[in-house]
Amino acid sequence: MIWKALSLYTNCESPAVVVLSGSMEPAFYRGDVLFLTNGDSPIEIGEIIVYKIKHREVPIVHRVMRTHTDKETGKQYILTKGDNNNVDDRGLYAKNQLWIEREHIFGRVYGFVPYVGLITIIMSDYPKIKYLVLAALCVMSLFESEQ
Amino acid sequence: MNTFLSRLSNVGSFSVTVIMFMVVILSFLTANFMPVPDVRLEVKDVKRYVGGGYDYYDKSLHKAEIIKLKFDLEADMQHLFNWNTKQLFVYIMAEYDNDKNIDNKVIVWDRIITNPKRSHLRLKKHLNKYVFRDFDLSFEAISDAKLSLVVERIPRVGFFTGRKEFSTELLLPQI
Repeated sequence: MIWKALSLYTNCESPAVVVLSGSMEPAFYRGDVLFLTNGDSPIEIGEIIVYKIKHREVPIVHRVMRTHTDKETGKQYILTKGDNNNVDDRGLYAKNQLWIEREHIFGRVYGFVPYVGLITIIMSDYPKIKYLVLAALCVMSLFESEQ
Repeated sequence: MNTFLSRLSNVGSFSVTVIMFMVVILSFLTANFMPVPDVRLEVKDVKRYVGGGYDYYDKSLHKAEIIKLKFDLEADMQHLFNWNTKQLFVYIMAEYDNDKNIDNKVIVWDRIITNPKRSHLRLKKHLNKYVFRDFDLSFEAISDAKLSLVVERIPRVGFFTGRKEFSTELLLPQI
């Protein structure tokens, strides 16, 4: 419920995401949780945005390096780069895609909490740990005495 | 009821709640962002030429006009570091309008400062770090731009609040 309300309020599919790669170090490390909004105002330069490219499952969190905004229509052409990468993101975009546009953008970062999401990364990287935890919980529930 | 495990979980959940509240309060307390006094940003040299660039993805770069900048920068940002400052992201951006009514903003140089001892920048005749080209092939009909230094503070926890700008004029030479 809270999640849905928050996602309506921020106009963003998922108002919080976990950082999965080190491309924004030292600002964000793997496992940091980011809070997102998706306001209608034009994207500012230097802002950190989350975008999704067609045919790519994982959204990317990077910083806006260039914006070219048409003043009449408000259409924006955006180029991004990860702080820890040496080159801009054109290698990550779809084939022959040079710019990101508004519809690719999924959220804009306004705050974060470090390392809280690390547990989800551990769970997805090592599925055995997940099953171990589940098994331990089952066993504990068997031996628990109700009073 | 009063088993070791239940006590442990009580203590654990209480301490997590307390820590969360403290973090929220302290992130609000440290959210203020002080101005940076005496920023000096001067353009020393501007060159404008065609070609000379190569980029695997940006196929038109070799026939595009490129601007090469040399600038002096002095700024002391040591006082911006407090316990909730993870890093400063400092960048120089160029802003200009062209005749097709497009508003352009381009980052030409940036630096990440994580160490307060290295936060007093003294750069002499520094070159721009990223390729500075227009959305179109040339900077035709653009004679001046605004060059600004922007300082952004990234906290260890909490909201992104700090952002300050310091501007100077950049005249583009005609070919």
